[in-house]
Amino acid sequence: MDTIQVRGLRKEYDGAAAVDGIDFSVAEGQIVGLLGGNGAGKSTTLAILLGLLLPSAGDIKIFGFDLVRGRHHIRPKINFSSPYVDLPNRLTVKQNLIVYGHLYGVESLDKRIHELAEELQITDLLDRRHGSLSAGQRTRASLAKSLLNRPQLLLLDEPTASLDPDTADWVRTLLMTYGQETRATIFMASHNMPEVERMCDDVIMMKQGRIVGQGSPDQLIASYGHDSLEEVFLDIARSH
Amino acid sequence: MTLPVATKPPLQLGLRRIYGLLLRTFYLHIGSWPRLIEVMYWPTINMLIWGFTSLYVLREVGHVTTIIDVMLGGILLGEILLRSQLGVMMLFMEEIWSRNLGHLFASPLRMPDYLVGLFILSFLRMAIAIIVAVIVAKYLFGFSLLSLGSPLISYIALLVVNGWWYGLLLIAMLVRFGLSTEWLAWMSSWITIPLIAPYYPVSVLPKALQYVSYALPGTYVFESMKSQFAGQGMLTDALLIAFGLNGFYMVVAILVFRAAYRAALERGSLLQMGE
Repeated sequence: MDTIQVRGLRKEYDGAAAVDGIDFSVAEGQIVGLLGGNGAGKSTTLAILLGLLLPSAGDIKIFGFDLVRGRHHIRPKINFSSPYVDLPNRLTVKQNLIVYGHLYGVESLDKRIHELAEELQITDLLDRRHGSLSAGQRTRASLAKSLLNRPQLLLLDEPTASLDPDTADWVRTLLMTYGQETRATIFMASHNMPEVERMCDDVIMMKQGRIVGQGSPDQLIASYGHDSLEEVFLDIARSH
Repeated sequence: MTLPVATKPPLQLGLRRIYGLLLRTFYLHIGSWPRLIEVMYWPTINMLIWGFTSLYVLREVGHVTTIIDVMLGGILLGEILLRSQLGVMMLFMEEIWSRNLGHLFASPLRMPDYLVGLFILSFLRMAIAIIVAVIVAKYLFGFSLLSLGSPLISYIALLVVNGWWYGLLLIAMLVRFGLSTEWLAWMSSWITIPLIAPYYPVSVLPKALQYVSYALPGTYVFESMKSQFAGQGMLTDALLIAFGLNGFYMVVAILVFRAAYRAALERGSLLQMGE
């Protein structure tokens, strides 16, 4: 069964379409990347899937449930991380994880927090205030929050933003391992082409609110006759 | 294709989410002593200013104990109303300031959980705020709020609910129009206080404002309090009117908040709201 089914999704602001009638599906256990330049409609699409933005038109199902009517069934099974949405700065990392653990109804919360802290190498940050963390440490703390409830659908906005290459690499490995072990679906927006090439089974390319390319990274590279996904991205972004 | 039916989460999960919200505010306050002091600061300062003023009036004029009681009782009960509505607004503002609304409303947290959590927290915040002022009134100025007897319970309940729905209307404005209306929300917090006539009779107000005054539940609570201090007992009918008005305004406030929240979802402003 598809984890995400989107049909005819459209979002307008004052008559201008930010997302212009897109269709796509994401199968269970897949890692799918959403690519596009600024203003392509990636963040709008992610915000709609998170239930934080209402679409102007279209039909969206997650786990087979209507996104709006079935939200109480969907939300305990999904989670997200974004560098643009903060956790409370005055709370420590552990306090934030405890609060969100309760909101998500996580069982054996203390054990889960320490498990994640080890996996994401934030054990020594647990008692530090979120506001005192570096950008890279915040990204890891936010990822810990996003994995708290063992989500079956993980929505990520630039998951390795602000991380050094070494840390970014093991975060990618961690996310891929999580996807393989749990059969979770990961849907991520990213500007990092090597990251998308490495992690994603499928890629959706967006431009001006529309899907302009879709397929595996290898398929897209071959169909555009380029050597890398970055060249495909530039080709699409610069074409009129 | 038939859609699977979404089952409602059990009550236990709802209580756990509310507990999560309570913890969030508890952690915020134990980690920030200026916030804790601020909670108690203004009601105490208010009590000190008006308490000393009352002592001065008593010394100069004499034989005005009823007026003094009305004034000090009005200050304490007025603070209960004010701190309840400010509690609702402050707790929501904390989420805006920390840019946490996206995480919060993308979580399984349901709107009734959020509102119940907000109201419980607002009540606790009000109780902490008022307790120092009550102690100051008792030991510095010899005024005990408990002298109102058992009606005090209904006064507190009615004023707290009045504060909740008014606070909810203010955060609906913030949700609908964004942080640019923050100062308007702060100012609006105080606008009803002179209208509910906490320290003086409603008849002192201009005729047009009296109509507005009688449309507010708080007015009836203070009328009853004044009646008690004048030795005429509690005004049961007035309190019943306050109860009815509170119920009506609470329903209106919830509907307005829901409409504002939906408008925010249409504009995507929950993700953008923050400093």
